[in-house]
Amino acid sequence: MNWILFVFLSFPFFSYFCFQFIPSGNVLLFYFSFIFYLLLSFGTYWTIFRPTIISHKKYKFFITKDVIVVHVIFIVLLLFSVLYHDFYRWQIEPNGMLDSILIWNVKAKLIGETFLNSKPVYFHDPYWKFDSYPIGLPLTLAFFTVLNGGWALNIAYAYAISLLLLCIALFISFISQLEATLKQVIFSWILFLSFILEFNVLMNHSSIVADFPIFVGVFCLAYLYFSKWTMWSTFIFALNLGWVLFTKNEGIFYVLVGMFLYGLKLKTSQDIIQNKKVHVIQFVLFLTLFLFPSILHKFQSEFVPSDFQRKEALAWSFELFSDKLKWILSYAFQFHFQFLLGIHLLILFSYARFFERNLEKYSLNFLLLSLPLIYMLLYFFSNYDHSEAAKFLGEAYKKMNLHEKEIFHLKEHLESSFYRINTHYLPLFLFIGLQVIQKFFSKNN
Amino acid sequence: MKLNNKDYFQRFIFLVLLSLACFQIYRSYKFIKHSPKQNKDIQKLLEVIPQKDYKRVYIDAHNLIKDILEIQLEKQKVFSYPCSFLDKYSFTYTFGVRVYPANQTSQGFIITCKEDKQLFEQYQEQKVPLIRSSEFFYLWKNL
Repeated sequence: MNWILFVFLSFPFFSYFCFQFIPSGNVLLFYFSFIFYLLLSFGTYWTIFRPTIISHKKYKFFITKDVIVVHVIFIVLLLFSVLYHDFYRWQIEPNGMLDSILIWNVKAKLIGETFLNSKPVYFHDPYWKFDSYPIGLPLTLAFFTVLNGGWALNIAYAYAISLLLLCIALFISFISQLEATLKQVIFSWILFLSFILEFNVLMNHSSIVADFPIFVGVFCLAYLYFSKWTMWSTFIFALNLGWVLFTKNEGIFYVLVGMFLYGLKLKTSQDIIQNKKVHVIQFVLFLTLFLFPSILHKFQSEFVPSDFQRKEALAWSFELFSDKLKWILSYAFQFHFQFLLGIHLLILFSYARFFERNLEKYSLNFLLLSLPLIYMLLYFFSNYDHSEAAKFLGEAYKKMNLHEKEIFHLKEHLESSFYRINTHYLPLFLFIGLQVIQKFFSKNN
Repeated sequence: MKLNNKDYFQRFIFLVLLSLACFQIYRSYKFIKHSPKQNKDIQKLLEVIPQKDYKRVYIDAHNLIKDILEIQLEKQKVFSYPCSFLDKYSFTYTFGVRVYPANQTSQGFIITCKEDKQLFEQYQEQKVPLIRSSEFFYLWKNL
């Protein structure tokens, strides 16, 4: 499991390395480096990290026959429903949503096929829409494009499905660590399904854009935080933060969140109390290493994303502010109460009410409450000018004043991204929910 | 084991949480199975778009489709906007999505996810045919 997690998270960096250093058109070397990478990573894991995990392992995997049956039933149910939905979506929209064709898949295809055509590979092109967006996801898909001998949409589909399988595997691994009873496993699965089968998560999964990978990245982050901490966790935690930033611009929040969680773990956990300094040095080194490609890419292209570049929107007035606030709040209300039914807020309430008062509880509550608020605040400054959309409204648009135009841009941006990007932080709530379920059962026992 | 008020409250919250989670799963299954019924507006749309062009209908949210075509990636595909899936559940979506027949760019169809009065009136002034997104989903399925 740990090795799979490592291969998954380090893959974009490995692809970046390959596309940088392997001469274009040399597919054989690509195949060779792929096999070499798998063997090398497995060897490193087996010799260096695995012994540290075993020495720290104080829990036993608790899986009885009944629990296995429950797992199998729920896995089949989940996979069937998600794939059924995906099947219809991809039949109708083979490319997922507009962003995937505009940003992610187009870059993957261009990078992969440029390499196959023996032309020099480039990661920037001013002609690309959203050139400054991170290239972790396109590089991963481009790598498989080269292995496949050409671009195919099935690569993007397979990657989305493999991310879902990774989520399921991490969830089962976590439940096993909790030594859960049968009832606890069933309730945990119900909670897990209610998050994974949420409309927006389903749509993100079938949209084959970078939002589902971010969801999975935060899932890994939460999994690592709530599991036993080892030297391996330090390494994979830093790798995870690098991966998230290399996948999407919003990853910068999760780098900060990850650093916050790491500090909290350092302060509260007994697992790393003995060699704190060594852990911190390792973490800083690994994090620097894995953030480097993203920062390099950022400096080579635009630093501020185009969604936040228009100056007109900063011409503030009370009317504009109140209208913006009204719109953002209405979208937030819909997301938190109509889509999610407030489940995540109830989880947070239970965590705050029924758990012992300590630093960890307060910090996590603060973090989870602030994340949705930060996302809402972002929209005050987001002002991407869809000038083509302005033409669309023709004469009607010309009559609008600045205030109306700003609201129009905001509505458009809210419409296209609010629900999509707000799903990113849901795994953190899910893992708190799993803690709540465990607490409930441990008390009853 | 003797239960105090706090325990009862905890059980109550836990039950509420679980029932909400179950309801969410039920709603998701309804969403996954959802298939809107055909109505007259769909018929109108099907009459306007020539049969041979069905598979070349472009749905463009931001009129960026031109750029995509210039990149020459996938010309013969259908693009769309996710909100049209969700209209069935009456969540408010205000921005319309245009549907173009492949050879037509100046006029098109507008899919309104939920009627935004202001936009709706503007579209009506321009005499652009309007259909609802749930009906559009049906069109997708029958492309």
